[in-house]
Amino acid sequence: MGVKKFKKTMTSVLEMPEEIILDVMRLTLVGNGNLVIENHKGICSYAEDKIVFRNNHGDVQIEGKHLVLTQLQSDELHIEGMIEKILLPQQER
Amino acid sequence: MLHRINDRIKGILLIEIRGSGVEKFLNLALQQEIQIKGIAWLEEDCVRASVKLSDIYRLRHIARMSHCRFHIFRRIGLPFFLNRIKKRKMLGVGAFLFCIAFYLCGNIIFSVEVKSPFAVDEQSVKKVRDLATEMNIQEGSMKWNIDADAAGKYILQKFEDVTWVSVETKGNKVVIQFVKRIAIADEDQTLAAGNIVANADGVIDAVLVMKGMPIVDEGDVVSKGDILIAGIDLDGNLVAAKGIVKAKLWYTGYGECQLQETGLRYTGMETILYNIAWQGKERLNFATRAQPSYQHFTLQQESLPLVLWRNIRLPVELIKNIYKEQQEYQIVYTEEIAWQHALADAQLEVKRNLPPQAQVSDTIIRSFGDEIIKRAQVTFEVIATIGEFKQMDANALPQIKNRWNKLYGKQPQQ
Repeated sequence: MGVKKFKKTMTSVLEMPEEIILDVMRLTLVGNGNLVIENHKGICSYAEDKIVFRNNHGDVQIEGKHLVLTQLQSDELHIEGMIEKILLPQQER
Repeated sequence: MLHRINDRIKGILLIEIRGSGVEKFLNLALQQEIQIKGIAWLEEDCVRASVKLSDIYRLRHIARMSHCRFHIFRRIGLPFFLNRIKKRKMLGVGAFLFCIAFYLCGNIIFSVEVKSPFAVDEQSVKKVRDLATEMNIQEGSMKWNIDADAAGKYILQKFEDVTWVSVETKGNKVVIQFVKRIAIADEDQTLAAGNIVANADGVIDAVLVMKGMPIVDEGDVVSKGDILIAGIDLDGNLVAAKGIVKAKLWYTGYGECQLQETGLRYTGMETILYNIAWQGKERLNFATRAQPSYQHFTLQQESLPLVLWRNIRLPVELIKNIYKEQQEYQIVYTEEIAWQHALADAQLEVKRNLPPQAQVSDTIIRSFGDEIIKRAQVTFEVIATIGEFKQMDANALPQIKNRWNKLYGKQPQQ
C-alpha cells in the first residue's frame, strides 16, 4: 500500500477533511456566479472569459463571462462572474 | 464587512497592471502574501485590481521581476481623506465647528412647558414658571446648568400650595408638571338644609341618624320619595340631615325556555359584493359574482365614500354588501334542562337590577309553565341602603312638621 493510499484510507476511517490531509483543492460553487477555490497553487492565466490555475494534480480551467478575481490569497481564490464550465484535471483514484 | 471597514481605514489603492506577465505578477504577489482584491480583466495584458496602501511599495519589486508596470488611478480611504483635509484646512475647521454647533443646539433649552394634570389657574402656572426661572430653567439655558431634582424641591419649598412637582428634560424642552393642593371644605357647611329621602319602595330595616330627626321606624313601609330623616334638629332648626337608612327591598325577575327551540343562526359563510352608487341614486353592480343563493341570510351594507384628498370627495361611492348565510336549527330540551335555562335567565334579570352592595336575605323561586314552555319567577329579598340626600322642599315642610309632632309630641319652632 502506497503512502497516498494509506493517507486516503486513514482520512476516510477517521472522517477527517480530505483537502487538509491529502492537500487537494476544494471548490465551492454558489449558483453559477460565485466560486471559492481553496488549496490552489497559483494562477496560470487570466482573461475575462477563462481563468486557469494550478493544482497539485494539474491545471483547473474555469470558463465563463466577465470573470473577476475578487480575492486572491495564498490559499484561497474567489471568482465572481458568470461561470459556465469547470474543467478538472485527470486524477487517479 | 469588518475587513472592508479596516481596508477603508488603512487605505486602498486601485491599480492598473500592464504587461505580458500579469499572471506572474499575481503569483509573485501571492508568494509574498500581498492581498490583491477585485482583479478584473480590462484588455489583453491589462488588469485592474485593488491593494492595500501598505503593500504598494513591495509591489514595485514584483512588477520589475514580472516585467509589468502598474499605475495608481484611484485612492480610497481615511489616509487620503486626511491628506485632502490637510490641504483644505477650512473644510476641517468647518466640520469641527459644525459638530460644536450641533452639540450646542442639542443642549439649549428652547421651551419650558408648565402644566398640571388637573385644571389650574394661570397665576399658579406663572408662579411655578417664575420659580423655575430662579433655578435657571428658562428658554436659552444650557441643559448642563439645570438640576431637575433641585428645581423640583425648590418649587415645592417656595410654593406651599403645590403638593407634587416633576421637572423633566425632553430633548430641547423642559416639562414641569405640578399638582396643587385642594382645600377640602367642610361638607356639612357646604350642604344646604335638606332631608334624607327614600329612593325606592321598601320596608325599613335599620335607621342610623347622624344629623336631623328620624321620622320612620323599623318595620315602616315607605315609598320612593318619602322622607326618612328630616333636616330638623331637636331645637327645630333646619339642618342638612345625615344618616344611613337600610330597608328590605324585593326584586323580581322572569325567565322562560321552550322545550323545543327553533330559530336561525349564522353558518359563518359570507359573500361580499360591491356596487357603485352614483350621487346616491343609481347603483351599478360591477360584481363578477352573482347574488348568493342562500336560503336564509342577513344583508349588511357599508358605504365606502371615495375621498380624493382631505374633504374633497367623489360623487361616486362604493357600497359593500355583506351577505351572511343563516340556517335553521332546532334544539329539544328535557323538562329539567328547560327549567334550568328559565331559572338562570330569571336570576340573571334580577341580579342585573340589584342595587350595588345589596345583601340578599331571602330568595323565592316560583315555577310554572306547561308542556311547551317552562317559566320561572325569582324574587330576591335584599337589604340595601335607600336613603339619599335631597334639599329641603318648602312644600314638604308641613308634612315633616306633622310627622315630627307625632313622634316627639311638640311643634318645631320654625
